[in-house]
Amino acid sequence: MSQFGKAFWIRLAILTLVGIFTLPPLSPPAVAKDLKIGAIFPLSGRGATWGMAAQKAITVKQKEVNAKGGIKVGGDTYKLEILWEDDKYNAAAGRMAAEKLVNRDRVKFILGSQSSAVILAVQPITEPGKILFLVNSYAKEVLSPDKPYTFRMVLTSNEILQGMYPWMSKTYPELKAVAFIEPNDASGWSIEKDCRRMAEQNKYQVIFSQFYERGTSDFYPLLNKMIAAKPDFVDFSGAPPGDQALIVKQMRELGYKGKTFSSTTMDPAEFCKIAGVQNAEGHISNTHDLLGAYTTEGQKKYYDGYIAVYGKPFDPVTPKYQVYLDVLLQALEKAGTLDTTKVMETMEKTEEWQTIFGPSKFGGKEHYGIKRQIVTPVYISEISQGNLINRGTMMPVLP
Amino acid sequence: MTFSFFVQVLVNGLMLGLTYVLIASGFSLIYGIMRLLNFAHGEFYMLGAFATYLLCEHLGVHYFTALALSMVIIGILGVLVYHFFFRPFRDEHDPSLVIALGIAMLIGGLALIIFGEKDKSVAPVFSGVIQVWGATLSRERVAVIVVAILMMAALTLYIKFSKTGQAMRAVAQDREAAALQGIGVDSTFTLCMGISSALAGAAGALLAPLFYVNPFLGMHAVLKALVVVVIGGLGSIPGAIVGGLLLGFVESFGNTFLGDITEMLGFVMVMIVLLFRPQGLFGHG
Repeated sequence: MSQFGKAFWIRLAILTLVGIFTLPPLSPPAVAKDLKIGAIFPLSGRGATWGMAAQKAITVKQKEVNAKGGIKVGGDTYKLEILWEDDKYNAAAGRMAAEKLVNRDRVKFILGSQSSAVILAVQPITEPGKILFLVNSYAKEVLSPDKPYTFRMVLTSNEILQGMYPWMSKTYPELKAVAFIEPNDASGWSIEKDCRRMAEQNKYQVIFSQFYERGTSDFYPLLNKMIAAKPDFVDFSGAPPGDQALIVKQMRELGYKGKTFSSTTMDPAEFCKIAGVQNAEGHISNTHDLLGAYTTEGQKKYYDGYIAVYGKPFDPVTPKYQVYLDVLLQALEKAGTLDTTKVMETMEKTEEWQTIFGPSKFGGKEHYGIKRQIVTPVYISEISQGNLINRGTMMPVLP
Repeated sequence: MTFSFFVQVLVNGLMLGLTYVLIASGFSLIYGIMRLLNFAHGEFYMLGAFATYLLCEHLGVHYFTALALSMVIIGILGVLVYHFFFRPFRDEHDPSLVIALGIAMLIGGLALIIFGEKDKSVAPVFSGVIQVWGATLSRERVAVIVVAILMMAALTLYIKFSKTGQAMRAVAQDREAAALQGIGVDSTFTLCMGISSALAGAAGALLAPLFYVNPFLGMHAVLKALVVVVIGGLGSIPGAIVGGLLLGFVESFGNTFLGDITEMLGFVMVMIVLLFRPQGLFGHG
């Protein structure tokens, strides 16, 4: 190497070193922050079927969002961190979980429970603290004008039955008398009230209604009396899916031949296994076969995401819980801030949200006194030879 | 009310009562001999149902073999629980009670993690129904009634006439006097725990094809068992049988004639029994 060449390389090396230590640093790569979201669901106890379904659906969405790098709120990017708490389907445990999330973890957003009792116990913490509380449960009093930070993300029996009872009366006009069997607690009472109102509006005669204690597994004594009343169909909308299947099995054993009906979602495979395929024939429910008719792109995507995370078989109880993060994340992006009051106002003002079920909105000003109830389509299906058959879909009207 | 309707109510009560007897007999046996309110007993019942589910549905074992195996497995589990948890606090009432509650929660929690929250079912062994004087009963239920009656008869005879059964009664009456007669108190307790846990396992196995199987069965079962043994008399097997049947009939007739308030009737019975005969119908003062 010539003298010139050597000097050149030495100068270049010195300049490079000087450059490295003296030039201002380049702007650092954008690092996503963590957005902590509390989630209080029954992960044990009798409500765990729903709580764990919610956990699966929310986790699928969380993984999808984080895999894309997070969500953009204002100028910042956030990865989702969900802090799970088990309310054990019990108000005291739910309240304790909320205290922990708000006071220790400082969360501003809580995805809430399945149980009305839990939600009513948690609201005295979330409302004064301006914590946005997205909930699911059927009790009417969960939503009221003095609870502006609470939004219900899943349809209740009030909205679902609005679709199902008229469908029932149109599809099976020969059925005239209905019987109700519901759990003996706040949820069961509230659902029975909705069912009774909707049945009477649709000119059905309510000829039997009885509550049972949760945990009951032998329904023979109750069913014996119900069958003697000779109902044309039986509605047990408030019973958990396992109880519904057991009721169907036992009523068929006792010789009941009428229709069975529920406004809740259930897993058809599990239902048929407990009830028996023959006994379950013709059972009507608010379950949607994600691979059947009326399938949106969002549902197909969710199905694939679910299988990727949890594998087969797919749990059809889970999709409705996807709506929680569907709406919250859009609201955060739209509001451009984590300020809960601004996010709440955005949720109130926005007319349309893209959810797994397609375009959805908030309604309920007339019925609940505040526009905080999500309105998504109601799906109606029947079991035929062990399979779920989509029979209809409608959008509830909720002024 | 027609005759067939009345028979149906009676048959329903018998079935319901035998369900309670199956669960409560082991619970009562433990209290009678060990003076332990074993709140984990309901969880043994739940595990018996899960053992049958796994053996039948996943390993393809015949139902009756699964029933026997479930009894053995849960019996051994009961012995292990006694050895590691109850034995160190054998004569201390309060710590034993807390430990029993802790074990119940531990087993319930582990079952939820291992088996998941979903309801499972065991395929029925017998299908179809039979008519008894106009009342309808599934063949599955008839099988449970027969097996339950046989098991209760065997348990009563065992405790009354076998040498180890007599040893159990001796320990129950006076632990120190029994020990002075050469009866091994610890081995009697171990045997008692094994038998009562096996009974809980049998109850779970018998009822699994009838109902469903999930990790939450235990707490409801143990509450019913508690009501039954308080009515019948803590520690008395005949008391558990009478108490269970009584509760079953009361609930069946209550459901038919009173409706929603039926669940309270069991507790009303408990209050009446405690007021007029605090030791229970068959208990000793």
